[in-house]
Amino acid sequence: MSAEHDAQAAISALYNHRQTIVRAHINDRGTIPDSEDTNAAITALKSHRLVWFHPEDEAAQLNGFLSQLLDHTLRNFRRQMASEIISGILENLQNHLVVDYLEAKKRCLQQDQERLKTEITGCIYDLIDRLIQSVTVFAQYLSSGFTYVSDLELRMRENQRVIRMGEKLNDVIKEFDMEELDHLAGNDEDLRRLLSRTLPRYIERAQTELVNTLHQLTALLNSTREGAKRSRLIGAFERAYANDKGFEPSIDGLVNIPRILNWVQNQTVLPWVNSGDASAELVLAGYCQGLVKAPKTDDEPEGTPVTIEDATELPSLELRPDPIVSAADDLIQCVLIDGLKTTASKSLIASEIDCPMSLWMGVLMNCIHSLSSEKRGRLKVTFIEENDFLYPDNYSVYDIVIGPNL
Amino acid sequence: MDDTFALVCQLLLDNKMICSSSNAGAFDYLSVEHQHEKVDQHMGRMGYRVARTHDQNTFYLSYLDASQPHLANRIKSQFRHVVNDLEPIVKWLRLAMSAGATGRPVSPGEIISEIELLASIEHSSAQLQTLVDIASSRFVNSKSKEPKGMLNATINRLCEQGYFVPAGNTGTQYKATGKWSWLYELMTFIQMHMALPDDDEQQNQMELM
Repeated sequence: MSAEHDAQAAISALYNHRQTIVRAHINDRGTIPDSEDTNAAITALKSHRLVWFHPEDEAAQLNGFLSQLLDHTLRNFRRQMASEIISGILENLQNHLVVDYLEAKKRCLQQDQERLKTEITGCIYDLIDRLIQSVTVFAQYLSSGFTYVSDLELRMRENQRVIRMGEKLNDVIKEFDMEELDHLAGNDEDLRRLLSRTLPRYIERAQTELVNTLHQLTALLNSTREGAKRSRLIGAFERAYANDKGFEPSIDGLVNIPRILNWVQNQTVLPWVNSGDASAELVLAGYCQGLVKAPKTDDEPEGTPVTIEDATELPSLELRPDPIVSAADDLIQCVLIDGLKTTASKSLIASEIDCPMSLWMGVLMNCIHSLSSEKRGRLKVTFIEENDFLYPDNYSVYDIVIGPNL
Repeated sequence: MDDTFALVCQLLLDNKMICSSSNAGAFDYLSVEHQHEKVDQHMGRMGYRVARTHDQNTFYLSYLDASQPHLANRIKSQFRHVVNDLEPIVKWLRLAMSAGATGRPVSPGEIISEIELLASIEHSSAQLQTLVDIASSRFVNSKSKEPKGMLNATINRLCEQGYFVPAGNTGTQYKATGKWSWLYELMTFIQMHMALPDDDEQQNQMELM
């Protein structure tokens, strides 16, 4: 009597609190919200061990058996909602064709048996065909990238709609009960081949593909969402530039430099020869060969004088080559021929010319500009510069890095 | 010596932004936590640290302590350099979005086709005008009068600036680098700092008026 009483009391509790239970199952993933309205339901269900309590927040959660029971009752509803065609085929197969076939077999109705077997085979292949088609449709959506919708917001909506459709189809596929199909087939060899082997194999394949496609569709949605966000960002700048012709973002008033502004630029690190390194001796010797100079003599000026013939018949002039220009030319040749990379300051020290840095940099740039465009293209020139403190639009050039343009 | 470690350090010290498009080997190396730490420690001795964009697409070198006055001034100066060229880049982003195959703003790893872009630009006077504006800007400074020349000069300039790298063997396809991630983050900061309204806010303001 006690067992019977307990079972009846449990069913009564379920009936009395049916709204709370169903709401928790459908809307809150089995969690019963803690409120005055639900206190009685939680107490009643707890007394029949139909709820458990989450260790973290003590929320009442429907027991696994109760959830399974509710899942079972909702199965047909889900099938219909998800994909009516596939659901209809399955319904026809499970509830009519197989049942009729087994009945015909039991009563030895050979003709009906053959007819039903053909129908079952056709029905199963139709089901497989529709499953494959449905999964292919989602793959096609994915490969299109929804680019047929030009507006990004509308594209996201379309993407979400397709994901929902895919989830519904996935629900239908998940509802295929392999054990039930196996049970239906019984000992009939033909039915076993179709229901226990062929159909489950295709269902599994379709589900794997669908789940994979759904993941990719979700990734595509996230990427489109990011794209829409960036498009709005671009739009904000477009408007700022359109509304104010002189618009220029400024951070002059910033006290703390945020992370994104903190990046290193124009900090070229130039290696310098370590003459004390014996292992580099051979390489250095090769470089130095071309740098040997004859000792200077006071009475013999360096370079060949150039005679200027003047058409005005004035006495002709003899111009001696400028040592600064010659040194700059030599340096540029070293860069072009030997691939040397150096700075204006270091080359000025090495050349031993008595000349201010500003003049040396000017001469170097003049020599570079006088080269042919082909040769100029082979050089990479970088200015080491900084904004002027008082006049930020002006740049103070401190040095020039010259090297081959690789 | 670990060759990849040396390469990564060299790239960072050369002020290169490292992403899977521009240098996959270096990017993969830095993506491993202990290797990232190793490079970070090495750079730390020189007053730098290895930073990464929020979307994890790009590594770049930053100062360990940017609050020092001379570094803050240098950073502000760098910022001015970047924003000087921002307008044509913003125009390019919109152009690539409307003329490109995906219809989305350029994102790292995406391949753009010069031929596809040109085909679309030649069929749209609005897109062509935008290209003319970009190509004639100080940033590109193209003398070409033909859309093909202007587009080519623009893409080459963006490649020089590290926004694209050539892809494939045709010479007409380019892969977007992680520098775009960095630029979007920078633009987001500017938008917040300068209080630039986006579409929704703009619409709300219009409705209020």
